[in-house]
Amino acid sequence: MKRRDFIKTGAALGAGVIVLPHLWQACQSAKTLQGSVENMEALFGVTKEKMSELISVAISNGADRADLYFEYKISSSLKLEDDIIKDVSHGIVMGLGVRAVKGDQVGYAHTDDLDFDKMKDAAKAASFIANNPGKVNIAAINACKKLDLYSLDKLSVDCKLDQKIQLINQVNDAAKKYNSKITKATVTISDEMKQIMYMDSEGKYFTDVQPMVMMRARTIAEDGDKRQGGYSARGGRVGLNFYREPDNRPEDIGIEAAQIAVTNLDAVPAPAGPQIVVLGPSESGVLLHEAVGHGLEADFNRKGLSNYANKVGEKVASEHCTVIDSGIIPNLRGSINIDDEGNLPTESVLIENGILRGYMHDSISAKVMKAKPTGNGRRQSYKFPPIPRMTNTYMRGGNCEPEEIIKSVKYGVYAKRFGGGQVDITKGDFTFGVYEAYLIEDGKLTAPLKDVTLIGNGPEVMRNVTMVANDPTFSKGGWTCGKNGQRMQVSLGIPTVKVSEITVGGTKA
Amino acid sequence: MNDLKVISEYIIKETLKNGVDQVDVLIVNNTNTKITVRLGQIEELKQANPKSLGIRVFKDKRKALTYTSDFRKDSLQKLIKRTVEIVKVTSSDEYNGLPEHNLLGIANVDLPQFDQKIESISADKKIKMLKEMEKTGMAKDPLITNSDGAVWSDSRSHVVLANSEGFFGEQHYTSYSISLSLVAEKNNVKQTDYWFSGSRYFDRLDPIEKIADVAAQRTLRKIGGIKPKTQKVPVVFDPIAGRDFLNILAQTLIGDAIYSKNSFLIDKLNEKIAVDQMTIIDDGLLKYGLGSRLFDDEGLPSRKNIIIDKGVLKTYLCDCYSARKLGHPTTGSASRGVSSNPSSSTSNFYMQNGTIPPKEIIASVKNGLYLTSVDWVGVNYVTGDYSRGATGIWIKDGKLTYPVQEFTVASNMLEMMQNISMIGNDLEFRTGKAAPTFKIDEMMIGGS
Repeated sequence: MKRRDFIKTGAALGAGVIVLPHLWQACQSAKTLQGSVENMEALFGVTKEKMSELISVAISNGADRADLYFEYKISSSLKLEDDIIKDVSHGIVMGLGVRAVKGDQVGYAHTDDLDFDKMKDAAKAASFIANNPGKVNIAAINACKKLDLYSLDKLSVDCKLDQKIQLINQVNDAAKKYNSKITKATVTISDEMKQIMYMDSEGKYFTDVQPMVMMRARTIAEDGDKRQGGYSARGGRVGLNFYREPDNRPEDIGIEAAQIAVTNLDAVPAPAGPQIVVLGPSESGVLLHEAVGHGLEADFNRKGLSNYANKVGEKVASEHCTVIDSGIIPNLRGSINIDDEGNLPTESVLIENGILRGYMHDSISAKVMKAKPTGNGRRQSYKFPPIPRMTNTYMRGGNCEPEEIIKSVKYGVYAKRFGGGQVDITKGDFTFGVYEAYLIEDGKLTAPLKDVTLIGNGPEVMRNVTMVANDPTFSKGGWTCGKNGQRMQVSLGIPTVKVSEITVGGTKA
Repeated sequence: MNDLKVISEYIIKETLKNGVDQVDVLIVNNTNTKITVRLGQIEELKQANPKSLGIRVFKDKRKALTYTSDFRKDSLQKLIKRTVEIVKVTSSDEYNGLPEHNLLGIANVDLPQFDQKIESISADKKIKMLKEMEKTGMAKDPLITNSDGAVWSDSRSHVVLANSEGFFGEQHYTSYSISLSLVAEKNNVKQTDYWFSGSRYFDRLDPIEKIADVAAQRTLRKIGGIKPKTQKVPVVFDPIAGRDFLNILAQTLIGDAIYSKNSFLIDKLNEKIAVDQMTIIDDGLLKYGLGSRLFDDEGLPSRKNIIIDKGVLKTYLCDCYSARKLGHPTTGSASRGVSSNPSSSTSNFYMQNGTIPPKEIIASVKNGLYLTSVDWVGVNYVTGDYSRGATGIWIKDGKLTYPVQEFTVASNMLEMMQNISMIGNDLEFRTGKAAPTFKIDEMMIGGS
């Protein structure tokens, strides 16, 4: 697994009908609770003066710059299984991460003990990356601009557990009602609220409150001695009101998870070897995340490790492909008001009509490569330094109708839902695992296929994109990306796309 | 509050006072160092002392779990209050509860887990080792043009588990790991691979020369890799690919997977599911094992479980909940982090060593695949359908010939276990899971 970057949904894990409006009013607004700056400093028990003192310690051995990242995270989750509320959990994690940077070298230390002496010890430990003590320069504090992409009204963590229990019961009921072959459903809702406060030696200062909620359903369908699983999830940087919107309602989630399990009971073995593959809208965006995204994270390029290194301006995909990483789409799982080192998120065009345009940067890579920051410096928590990460990666829509694409295929595979993917950024080979797929015969979707892996080389597959439809869609699933031991919440999207050849890992000759 | 034992006693006392029936507390306190050297320069120097605790309570057969990294007394008081509040929302479940009193205990064996030496290894020494290792690896061949870094990490852990049935256990562990990732380039195609060593004791780590050598060899042997033809062939799993095979078994023979029906091993107890030669063991007390421990995360003594005995599935691994739910004995296999409920998991999990030298296994294949690594996506636990992205070396007339890449291997786990025909004699523990080289007579290759 090491050094192979991956993405996954909770797919390895698992409607109600009426929403009672009065319950929704019980949520408090987080803005009144923790949004203000004074409260944030009180929460961590520090003042700006004390923070400046810590930065001085971190920078004192001759680092170019230093930063502090305070985090207070409340998480909760509920799980329904076998028709009962089985688990409930609630957690609070807080701490400080201190970073000192010298060129492209990083000293990092973190503490969950916010006594001033302990924080000072952490700053000292981080400072050792440099060994040339000298005069310390710290710029005057200048609050960063940030966006406002997620509403803090009716935050899930603030809502009464009863409301969430009602939601997961509705998912369960919908799944069970869908078909008597559904013998089991597991439904979870998990949410968090991350409050962060940042300050650095260049004067940047900000606070942010980042909400996240995800509801997941896993089902088992059984028919005689056949058994199959199904999965569905919805969420993002949203409040519970999200689950009243079309396509996000508990019944949508429950029915979708049930449908996949029941359909797959009749799945037949997939073909093996090179095939025409039509990627369905939304979740097939895993292709972009793996085949393009990771390889364009600037750290891999400044180190010369990526197969895309030094290729800006070159043709790396077919002219149908325009790929964008955008951190600024309201409420999506990968969106951020500000990145974890004070830069504004952007809409970065990675590939434009097949031509490589640029990379995704954190502050170190932007400085080393003399590029503009793109707002992609993100970290899992105070326990990790920021590195370049994707936010929401998607492909712009094309001109044709999705039906046209399917009709154009005589024999091939239609891939719809994905458990995850993985890439070797050095050679560019990537895989993704499909758990809902169909055979295409004479321009029509026919038999469902058993779980299958698709494998290809990033630039090769991108060059094989021959048709792009006009139905770009973002996934609202629980995508979590892994890189250098850090997990990061992201999203992805794509229109219906035809790839003239990908290797399909079936068992049928 | 600092003393972990005092904290655990305080939490147990306070939660009971607030009306819960049973409680257990898990506290973990670590000291970690991580150093990355790349191209002779320090890339990252990281140090931390994280701590966290989890409280699990039962009341009227309902359960709740809370956790925190904030050990201040007033914060703990608030958390306890919250714990007692939220336990009311879960449903009563007859299988909930702490282990029965007579099951609790600590294995009475001498298990070396703590290396005193950890205090005395300086950062400078670690950096020097990393620099030397990277330099040695990069000097192996001019085709090795880049490095993805040499990484050192070590940790000291102090783990305390206490419950209201009177169990108190604590363990001190050390662990070290060291790894090297290299990049080779030929004809504008880059290849990367790595090697590593991990141990509870510094002196038991592989020498850096060996790690450098293996990392270089593994990287170099991928150069010129091509896509094989789509065909059915015998597949020889090397110990790294074999570990992935064990990972799938480890996910599917645990009690949780069985009652959740998320396993192809449901209803297979006491059935012959694999060939006679295959015996699979989980040993929580293996000397120097990275998965060894004196008691599991519910306070049951660790033990050795023979799971598949000469092809017959003898037991699932169960924590107390799954054991009660399935009517199956517990196996001392409960595992959890502070922020999650216990489930069952493996400790030191391995396929028993065979008798055949790996060379003879390769020599027995006329046309087939030597599988050296697989991706993690593409297995359906419910059906056992297996389809993995893969990397390897093609075997022709009993000899390793050219590298192969960008293809898939596919079959079904139940079929694979019935089709193992040779098991090697090269079992070696590098992590908590290990398999010797073995051969599966037929799998589907998806290539060109």
